[in-house]
Amino acid sequence: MTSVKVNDGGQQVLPFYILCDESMSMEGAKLDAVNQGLPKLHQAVASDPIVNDKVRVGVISFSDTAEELVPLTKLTELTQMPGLVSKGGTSYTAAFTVAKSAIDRDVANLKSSGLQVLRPVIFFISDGEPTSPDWPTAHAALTGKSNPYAPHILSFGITGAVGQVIKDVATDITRLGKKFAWLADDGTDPGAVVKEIISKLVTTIVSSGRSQIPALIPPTPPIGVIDLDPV
Amino acid sequence: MMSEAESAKGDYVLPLVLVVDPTTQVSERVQCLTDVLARLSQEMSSKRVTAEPIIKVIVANSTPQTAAPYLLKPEVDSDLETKPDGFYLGRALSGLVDDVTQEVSRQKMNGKVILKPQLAVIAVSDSGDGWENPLTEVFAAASQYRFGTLHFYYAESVQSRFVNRLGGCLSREQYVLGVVDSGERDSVPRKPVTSPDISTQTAVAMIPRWPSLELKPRRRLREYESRTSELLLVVTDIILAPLRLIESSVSSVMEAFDESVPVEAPEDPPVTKPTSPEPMALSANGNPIIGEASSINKSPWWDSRWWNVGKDEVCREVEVDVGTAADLAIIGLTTRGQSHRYGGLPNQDSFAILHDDLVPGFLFVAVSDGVSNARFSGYASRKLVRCVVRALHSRVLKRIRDSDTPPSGDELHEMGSAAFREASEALLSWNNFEVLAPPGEPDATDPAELSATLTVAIIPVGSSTDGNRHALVGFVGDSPCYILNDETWQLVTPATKSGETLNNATSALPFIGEEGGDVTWLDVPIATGSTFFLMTDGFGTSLSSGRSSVGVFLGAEWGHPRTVVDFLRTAEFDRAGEDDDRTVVAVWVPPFKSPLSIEESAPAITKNI
Repeated sequence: MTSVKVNDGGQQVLPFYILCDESMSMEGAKLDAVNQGLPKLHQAVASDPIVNDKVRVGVISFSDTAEELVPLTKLTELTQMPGLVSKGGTSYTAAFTVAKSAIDRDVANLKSSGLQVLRPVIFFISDGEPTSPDWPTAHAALTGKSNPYAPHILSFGITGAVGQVIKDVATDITRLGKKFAWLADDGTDPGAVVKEIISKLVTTIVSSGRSQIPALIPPTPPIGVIDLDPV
Repeated sequence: MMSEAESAKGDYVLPLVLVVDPTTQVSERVQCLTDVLARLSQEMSSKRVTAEPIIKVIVANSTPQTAAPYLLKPEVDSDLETKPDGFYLGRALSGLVDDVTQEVSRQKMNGKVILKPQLAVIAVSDSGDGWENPLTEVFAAASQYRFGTLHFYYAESVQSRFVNRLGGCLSREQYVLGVVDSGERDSVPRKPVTSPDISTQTAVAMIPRWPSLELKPRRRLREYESRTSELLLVVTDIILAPLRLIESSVSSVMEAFDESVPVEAPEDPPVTKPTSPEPMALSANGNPIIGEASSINKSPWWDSRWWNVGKDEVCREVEVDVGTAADLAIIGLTTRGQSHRYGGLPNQDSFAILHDDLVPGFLFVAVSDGVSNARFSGYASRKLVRCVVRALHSRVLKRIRDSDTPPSGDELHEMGSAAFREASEALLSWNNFEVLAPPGEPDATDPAELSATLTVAIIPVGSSTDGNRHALVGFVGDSPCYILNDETWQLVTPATKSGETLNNATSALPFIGEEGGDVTWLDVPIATGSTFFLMTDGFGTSLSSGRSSVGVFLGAEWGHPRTVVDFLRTAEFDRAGEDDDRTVVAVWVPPFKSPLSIEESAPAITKNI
């Protein structure tokens, strides 16, 4: 073979992260719904060969500290997903800090294996007020212009979350001209809402992975959920 | 030694080496291990397998101890000193290759065909010695009896110490990972959320998939007995899965050794391969793999349920045209992409090639790529290519009848653009019997559902044009034109930035309203001995500038005319993420490079079994 310097441009991947609150207030139906939803996500992606090759998924949970439960991976390579357990407070700072370091490392890894990496997407799920007042700094470091790998953030507030905060966490998606920030209606069953959110998340990952030109195809809000940034 | 009855069962032998971390206390449960292995051999004889495993268990103490050397019905020596004193993976692995070599030679003398040995490691603690070099050696390409796959089970607590470093020793295809619960718990226990049962078909398709295994540490010793069945499951699966693959004739996981290697001299250097390039790995569907293999081709199309006939009456899986036009040799090919095979949708690409005696001086070629979100783009692309080449042909015919002078470049531009407009018009009406025609009335159908690109080439033919042949290429949308000369690609049409969303008004037909109608024309010189291509982005994306691994592969394969069968095989290369419909029209300009002799070119794409 001739020695040609190879500059592979073809293979594009979409990284998705689920950044989920596991504070004490999430205990019970809400966390159960997340834990039941994660294997469904695994099944939907791992059994679709087209989507599986194009997306990578990671799971980060946060309470007082944040932890990478599932490092960004191709889902057919995952044999087990650790469940979320409720504990402690709600540190958005820890969440965004760990998310940033995970993204920095993961995108660099994917690129070094010759893949073209599209902008990462974070699904942020929380049910409470942030207990760390300095979270906007960590958020800005993650999403600001200074970060070349700054992700899109779609944020979902479950009953108990603060609407304005959820909206501030979400990023503007210029191509679509809006943010994606949803807040559950008061009075809706939190477990059911979480279930719906997870299932919308799955649809987003699958349809984005199936689209011919790989791109984020964001969801439409389920019943009982308000869109905080309607067009 | 195997008895006559056993050796009659099959001609294949699979060596399996199991290296166990002694701190799992497996070694203390010697009796249990014997039970495990006895039950395993029972399972073997009850299943319809055509190969036999021979198993060796190494307990990785500071002095590695062999618990069961290479027997079908291994006996575990109960006198074995099994006091665990740490986990020494490096020592357990050293000398393994020589050991396997000896055993394999013995087996070959019994006339057996040896399958690639498998290595399984269970690690719940950090290794007390360096293991990367011994491991690399075990799998090193230079060694003739190198192992095939590493099955690595680790406890989460030592994940980073092993898993991250494995990538430095082995390539990703060489190892499979699984998690072992060592019983250590953090302060808040996490209940593992296990994956739901995946159907057998998808399980086969996602090979290898191993169940996760729980082994308890020393303080819960008594519970080990109940774990023997799980250990049995794991070890059984490690052995059975590759054997099932052999039964269903899927290649790639296992390879038989080269039978021509003489048995008497294992220390002879391995047979040197001919200097032709390494045979390419093939997917389960026979595609040569470039880079990372795709998931959809990990399983034969008839097994996986991932390959579906069209929801329309045809899926246009493969269409090929081949022939010469005056002095040029041409192959046109379109194949359905993986994402449409999965979705049961038809091929949305098309091509057309036209040359006849009425207009002997020109070859007309067109390719079209249906926009994927447009529901009827399969119909659109097929109609566009046929209409545009006919419209071009009839205009040029009229022109050469009207005047003796050959048409000028400007005249060809004009006729070409008019042909585009005519094709766009034709797209907007149909009758029910046309292939893939939309179900509704033309008036009631949104033209955006008929979106497709169109790229056309007008190529002068005949040896009088040699040395000064210029093609005229006109395009709307992103289906590219390339020239290949001496294994170097040149992209003629403008490169599209990745991730750009196409503006349908200016980048696809049909032309709608006053916008659009703008066709870009390029003059393209074609040197003698080069190859001219029109393609859709099913090839264009992975080819990109040509300096890509796909570019290197196709640059070597497409520089000269090929048989249809060979051309199709190269066009169907497998690459994870490349799932779009693929279309190419290749026009070879003489002098044609002589193809490599059959013996030299064939090994480049040879099946490995």
